[in-house]
Amino acid sequence: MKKIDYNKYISYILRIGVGLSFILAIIGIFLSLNSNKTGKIYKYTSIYNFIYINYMKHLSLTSFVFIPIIVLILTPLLRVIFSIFMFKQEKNIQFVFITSFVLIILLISIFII
Amino acid sequence: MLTFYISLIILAIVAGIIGSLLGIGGGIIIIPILIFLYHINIKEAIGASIISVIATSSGAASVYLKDKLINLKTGMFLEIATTTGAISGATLLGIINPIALFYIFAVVLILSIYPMLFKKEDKEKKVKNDYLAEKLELSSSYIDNDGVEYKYNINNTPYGLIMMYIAGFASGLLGIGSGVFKVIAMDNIMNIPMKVSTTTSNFMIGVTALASSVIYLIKGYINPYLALPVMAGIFLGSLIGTKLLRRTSNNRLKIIFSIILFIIAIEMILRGAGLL
Repeated sequence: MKKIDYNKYISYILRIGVGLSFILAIIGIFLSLNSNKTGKIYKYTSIYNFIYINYMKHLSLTSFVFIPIIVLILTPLLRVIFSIFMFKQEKNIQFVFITSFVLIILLISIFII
Repeated sequence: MLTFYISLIILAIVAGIIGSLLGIGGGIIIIPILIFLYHINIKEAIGASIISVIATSSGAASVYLKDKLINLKTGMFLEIATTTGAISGATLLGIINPIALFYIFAVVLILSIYPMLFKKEDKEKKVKNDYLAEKLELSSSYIDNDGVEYKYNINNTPYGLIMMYIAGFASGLLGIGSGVFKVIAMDNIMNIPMKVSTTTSNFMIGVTALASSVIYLIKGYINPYLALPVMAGIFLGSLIGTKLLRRTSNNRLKIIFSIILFIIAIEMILRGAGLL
């Protein structure tokens, strides 16, 4: 049986994530050209508060310009999730645990800290 | 706004080109530019930098993955240390005095110069796997440009993990990729060949930066109106830099920019001391 080249898929995930984020960033830059906004920076209390203020309370230009950043941040996260799947397919249980542990650390940094 | 964006994008492209040619990333170059030329608060400059770090490292890693230069398992294992380090660093950024940040940044900048000038590529190192490397089957091989396959073993894994924690910490505190520490951990400590160390380091930087970037986002250090042009510029610059790298003999370039980086480090110290 031919061995699946997972490197290729991880490479695609990274390319698509970075490419999409870059395109959205360019759109965001054009949209904010006329806004004369250098951005009032909010401090949020948590990620839930960030989502509530930018995407639930009201939508604004700032809601949009944060999207490329969110896409970019999610790209490595997706790569870690895919890696868990990859190691599972390879029946490498040790690395399923190790990569899951990295994912847990990342989720803690996103949702708890 | 238009002039602000155009000038910022151009400078970010230049930072990306230089960072790519020198192999130190654009983040460490753009932070002083934002501070000294645009008078941006150091913590906001760090926030903008970390976003560009994710873009450039993920972009580069996608190429290295296709070339099979990255040691995926070693990268994944060491990410345990870099991500915890990044969370510690990013948390400390919230409470640390900005003056201390100038000094720490200057030290890291000076440390980045050393491997750039004196590091020699070592294709094959004769070491035995240590217990962890054996147990986790971390040793691997890579095919160099000359088409020859080089096999390598890995040792001193626990010490490598400690160094990786420091790398993650520096990344979380300063918003840089801190590839220099990651390469020290893999190349100098764990005896992984230089080529695999640098590419695996790139692969790890995105995940490390992710751990700290969400903390930055919540604390309000990421200004999207600043981060987007910086990210777009550095990313474009790194692509141009990679193309130029194939055509440039960059030894003289490295010496010139080492001097510039050293001057920036001194400026950072002077700014920290309130003399600038």
